[in-house]
Amino acid sequence: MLDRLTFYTPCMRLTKAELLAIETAARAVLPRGARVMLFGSRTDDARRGGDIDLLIEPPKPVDASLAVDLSTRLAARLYRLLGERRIDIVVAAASEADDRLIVREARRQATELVRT
Amino acid sequence: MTQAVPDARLASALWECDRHRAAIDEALSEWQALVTPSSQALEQDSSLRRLTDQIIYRFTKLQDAMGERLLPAVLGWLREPHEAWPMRDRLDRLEKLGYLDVETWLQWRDVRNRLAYEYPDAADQRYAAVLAAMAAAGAMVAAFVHCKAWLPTLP
Repeated sequence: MLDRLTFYTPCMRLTKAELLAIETAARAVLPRGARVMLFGSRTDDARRGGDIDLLIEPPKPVDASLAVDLSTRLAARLYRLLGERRIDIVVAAASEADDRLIVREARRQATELVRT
Repeated sequence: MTQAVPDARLASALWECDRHRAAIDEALSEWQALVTPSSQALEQDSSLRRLTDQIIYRFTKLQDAMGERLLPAVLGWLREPHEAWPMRDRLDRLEKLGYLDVETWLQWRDVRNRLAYEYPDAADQRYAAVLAAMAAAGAMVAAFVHCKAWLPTLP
């Protein structure tokens, strides 16, 4: 029953099962020292449903190929734990400036979920 | 139900998958014969874009044909009571039986989903997603061939 409840922290809408899955998947596939943050509609308490938008900040810069690989492995693990659903993952190293609009917006809204 | 129906479903699913496999093989050979094209070439060269689109389209079709037709047909042929199972249970069972690797299958799902929502100001990420799709298409063909090899010759 607990898994069905939605846990509200300041500006965050995820079920306990979703939070646990994100933590489990992140620890399994991301390098040590990576941060996983939530952004997008799930940070808005006034909205319902929606994609799970995650910003991953690896501790060191990664090239585009490794970024895609990390995203894919994280998403696949989340599909396995939660079932397939819309999960949008953006990767941007914490130590690097990134002028992509989506990264700027994600960083502005981000709520930290996990640090590996 | 006699075995004739599962046999027919399986034969039909294999035939469809094989058509996509052949198209991917042909297009991937063409892609691999090129010196690895750059991100810029992919953005500017329409014939290169057509080739990658062809591979991505067939990758998507093979994924659909395997997920919606072949995998249920294999379970039916094996007389597994799969009709009411969610996809996750079907995949888990097939993994146990040695037909596929679930984690890899789910990664192909993400590779496909990712192609649908790339961002316009991230050319290098778009290019990396296309390269991932090329690799996934090749791996999916190999998985299909592996799965087919496990099945007996059908009439």
